[in-house]
Amino acid sequence: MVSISGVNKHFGDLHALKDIDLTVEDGEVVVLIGPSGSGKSTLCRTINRLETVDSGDITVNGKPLPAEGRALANLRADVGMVFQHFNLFAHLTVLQNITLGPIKVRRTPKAKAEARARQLLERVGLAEKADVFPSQLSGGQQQRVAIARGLAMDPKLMMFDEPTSALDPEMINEVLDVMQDLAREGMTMVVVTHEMGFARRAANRVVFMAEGQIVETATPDEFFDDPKTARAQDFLAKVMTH
Amino acid sequence: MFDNFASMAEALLEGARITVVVTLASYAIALAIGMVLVVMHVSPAAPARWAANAYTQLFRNVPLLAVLFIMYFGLPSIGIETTSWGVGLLGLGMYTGAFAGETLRSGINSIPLGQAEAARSIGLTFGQSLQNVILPQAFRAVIPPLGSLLIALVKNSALVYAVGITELYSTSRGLIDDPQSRYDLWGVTISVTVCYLAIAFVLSYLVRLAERRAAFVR
Repeated sequence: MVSISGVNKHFGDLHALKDIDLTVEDGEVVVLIGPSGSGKSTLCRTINRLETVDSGDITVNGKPLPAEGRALANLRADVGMVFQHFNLFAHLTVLQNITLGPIKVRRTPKAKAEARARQLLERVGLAEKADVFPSQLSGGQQQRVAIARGLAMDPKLMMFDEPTSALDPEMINEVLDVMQDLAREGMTMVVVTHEMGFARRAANRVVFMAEGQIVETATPDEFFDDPKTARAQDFLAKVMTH
Repeated sequence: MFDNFASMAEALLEGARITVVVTLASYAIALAIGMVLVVMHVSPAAPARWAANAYTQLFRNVPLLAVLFIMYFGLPSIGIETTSWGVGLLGLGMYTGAFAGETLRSGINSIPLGQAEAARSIGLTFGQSLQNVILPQAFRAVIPPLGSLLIALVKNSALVYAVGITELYSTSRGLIDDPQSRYDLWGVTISVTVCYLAIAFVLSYLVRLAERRAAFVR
């Protein structure tokens, strides 16, 4: 589904991604973890070219990422993206947020797009919120709408960039539950998160990054029970003490 | 003081009508230009950005009266025929358009980057995300300053008397300079002031209504 090879990226003097190689197979759930500033969000954002790379190749569904333009827009339509800060369209209702992409990009008739949007809202447990504005929802509700917005495009791949990092603790699980259901249904997912419990339960593969490099790649059980590198051991010792 | 009030009022109302027509028509031109400018300003194509910047600097930094004179007298000298109304509306519109463009640009800059990223992520093209996500929000954010621009335009519209449009202000000059001295200076001056106030007041009220209608829950 996704193949990344030899990718480098700089922000000024900061070498944010160093020789990254990573593939994501169809139906696989890959969780990227690592300390803040390790490049995991940046890596995630390069997959739909929200960040450009300095060198290396990225292919999605066998096709190299095109330059900015209609071809890239078409590719992005197939790749759902869920952001840390939700980024729901503030001037549109929940329903309009979800139908905008299908109507404008997929040319789905409005009635059909709305019916599908209501199904998706049902699925994320927000059927009664179709006609409110994003600001009237809690963070957890907004994030579930954002997931529904991504799913409305029938994406081949869903990416989650720290989807629970901006949420109050009691709202984290409602979002993780939706994500876990998706994973169980076979959605291909790339998830950047600090939720170790989710990584352990839902991931097929854990990718541990530090200082712009992939340090360790393993199954969740291997990684959490028996991390191979000192860097991962150190990280896990810090995050797993509570 | 208000000698011959009926004929004065009749003349001033006709002038006020012209002022309103000039204001609204040139405002429409200004908004259209502003919209084009702001799209050029945020365009990925550098020449578009340069052109928008050059336009803005030129029209924002030259006095409106000079813009009108240059168009009225300059264009015929390079073979382009002009009319009072053509120069009046276009001149006002092009001048105000530079300000409208900057106002809209500040609106776009106030929209969080995440909105554009989310728009691109669902597969909208650059143009589609501007049209459906960015501009509607930017526009709502700048209705108050765009309203101020409209009010300023009511008063700036007086300058088109210089290219021969008999709007409210030049009507009042005509009354004061009446060959038969039928009108009192202060009577005319106070009356014309009241007319401008009334026009600006009504337009402010309409702007306020627009603001309230466009408000979305934040």
